[in-house]
Amino acid sequence: MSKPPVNLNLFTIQFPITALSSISHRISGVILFFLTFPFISLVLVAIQSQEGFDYASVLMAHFIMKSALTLYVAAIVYHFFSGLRHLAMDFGYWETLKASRYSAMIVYLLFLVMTLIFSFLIW
Amino acid sequence: MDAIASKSISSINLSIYRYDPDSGKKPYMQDLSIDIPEGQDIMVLDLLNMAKEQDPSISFRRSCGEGVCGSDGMNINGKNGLGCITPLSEALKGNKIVLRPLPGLPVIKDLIVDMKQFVDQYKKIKPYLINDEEKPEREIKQTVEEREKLDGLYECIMCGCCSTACPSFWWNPDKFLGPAALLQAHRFISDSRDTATEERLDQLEDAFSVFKCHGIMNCVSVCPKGLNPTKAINEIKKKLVKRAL
Repeated sequence: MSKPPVNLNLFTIQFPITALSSISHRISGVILFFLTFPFISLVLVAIQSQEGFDYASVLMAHFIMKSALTLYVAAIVYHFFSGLRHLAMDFGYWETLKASRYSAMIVYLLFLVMTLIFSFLIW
Repeated sequence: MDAIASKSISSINLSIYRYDPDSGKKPYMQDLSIDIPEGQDIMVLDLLNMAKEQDPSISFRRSCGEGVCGSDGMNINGKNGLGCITPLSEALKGNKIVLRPLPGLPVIKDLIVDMKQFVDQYKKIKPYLINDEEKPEREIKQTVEEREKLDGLYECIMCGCCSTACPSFWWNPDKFLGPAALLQAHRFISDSRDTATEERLDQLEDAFSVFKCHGIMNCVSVCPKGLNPTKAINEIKKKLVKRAL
């Protein structure tokens, strides 16, 4: 007998905001994982010498680098607030569906506002 | 509700997941147009019964028809629920409704899934009272407060809506116990008459059984009985952490 099918097409399944909040936390975490090392390296280069600083400045003036930094900062902001929310839930706060929905919405709102402010500073 | 009450819609477009293991064909979506009585709300299960009149080969489980037996768990327009207590007015998107089997479990036929993985996880938590003390002549007594601790835990009807809405259960149905089994685990851990609390916690202490839960609350948002497995799981986590400190 052949293997029975499984209904698991994620595009047909509705995800509540609390689930989107969790997957966003993962995605932002992956971005942090890949971008932290390059940006820290660049900071180290910039503080080594005048030439290093000039090099980093020129590099950071490029729109690709500015975009990458915006993405990185956005990921930090989201991961930070979402992480606090997760910690609060681990300690037993916001355990009802209603509270959890509201806290997820507030995290998204804070993320949008903070990312806009930082984007404004970067660009 | 309005869409139905306005009498403007009397025909529902039903799209239903079909799979017949004997046909050798892959699963497909069958579209049916069903006329419903105007001006009144019906349940998704009623709609399915009407669909079955059009095409008697459509298969689904059902029994009590009032949200007690937990047989007709299914994915209704993307959200798990019981067909018998989900009003059409709540489930409809426009005049369209898509019915699929519970996600993640092997499909036997149409909306009928093989619940073995789900039941196996339930068995693991030993869903019965363990008491090795000398038995009293009559019942083991509980105070009102002790009994209250079981509220929100004992009402589970094992329909499987929660566990099959949980990504952690989709990816690790053999290692992560899933919200339904964990709610029951907490029900027996919390029971003042149960003397196996430590053994129960020992069994849950690995990286998967409980800790694969990341609190995304899909289980809470679909539970037809309004229970909160996420909270129960958090209570177990807290007990495990407290014990380790």
